[in-house]
Amino acid sequence: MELDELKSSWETLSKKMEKQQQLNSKLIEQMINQNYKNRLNNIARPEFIGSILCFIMTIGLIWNFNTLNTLLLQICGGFSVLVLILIPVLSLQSIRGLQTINISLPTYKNTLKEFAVQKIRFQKIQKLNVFLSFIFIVAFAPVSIKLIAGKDIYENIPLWLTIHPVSVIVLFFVSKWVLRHYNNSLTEAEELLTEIES
Amino acid sequence: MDKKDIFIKVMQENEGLIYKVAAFYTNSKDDRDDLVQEIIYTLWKSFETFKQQSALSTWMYQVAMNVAIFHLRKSKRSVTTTPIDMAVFNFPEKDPDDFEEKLEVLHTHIKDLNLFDKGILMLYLESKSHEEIAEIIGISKTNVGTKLSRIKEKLKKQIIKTI
Repeated sequence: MELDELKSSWETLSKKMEKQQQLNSKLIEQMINQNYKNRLNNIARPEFIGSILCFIMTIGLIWNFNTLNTLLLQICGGFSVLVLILIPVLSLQSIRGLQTINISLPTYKNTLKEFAVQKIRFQKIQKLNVFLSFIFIVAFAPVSIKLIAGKDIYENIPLWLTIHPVSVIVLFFVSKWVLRHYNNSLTEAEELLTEIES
Repeated sequence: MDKKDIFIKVMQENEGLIYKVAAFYTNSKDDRDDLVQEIIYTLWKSFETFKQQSALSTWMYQVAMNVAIFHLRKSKRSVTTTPIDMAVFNFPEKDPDDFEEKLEVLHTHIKDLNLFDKGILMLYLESKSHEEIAEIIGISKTNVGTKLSRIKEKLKKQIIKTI
């Protein structure tokens, strides 16, 4: 469709939309009394729930740290605690960025620039989170078995030689799929930023 | 007349503008309804900052389009806003002229454009002058012309791709 055709098509649609008179005072009042921040909190809900779970797991791990009686388990446990703290911190930080967006920036270009910069930042954090989750699964497996079943990973080597590599392979492909999505969004945001700056 | 009454009057007089921005930036009816709510809420919050240095419609376009950018991000995460009685708040649906179908065709043609181009195109379709587009978008008047030529090219390429 040529630009002129697009314009005439838009004019037809425009006329219809302009003819509507649906915003009465009651409806407008309802709309302006809503709490926008509450809506943002709704968006952040999965991240908040995830973060709470991470913190509960961290406390549980620290509380039972003395159960981890070998050096390997202690290293894995320490690493798991570190990742469990890092993931929610990064996640909540990116949400904080979303909540401090200034929508009333003077121009569309400025807002779009902030949007693109934030999107790039968000995608990078998500990529880092995928990487950290990958490492976490590997490190947390022996720790969880010790804490839940009280067994050492060496006690059932054949089982672990099957389960662990399989879960790592599954996670590898899932991560690859997720990262492809993030990489595409990242490229899109970077291209947008380049276009704005050109 | 208090501030709220003035605002309500302004919104009623310019509701077409809000509906149009919402229709341009969203693909589904639910998203459009959400976006209209969000635009009105943000306009209300920033109503005091409107200093009449620019035309009222310019300010409204700026706020509405800025909200639209971030709304897209949220709608992708499938979150809906606080429900409002939508019985009185509907875009034309399945009317004899097929409003929805025409809108869908338009979206198909602009889907490959980035948000920057979409903003410029939206104002061009609204018959805004290069000067007004430049003011709302925040680029120079000559840059508007250049960007519009590029958009034309992009739209042409898309037709060839579709064929």
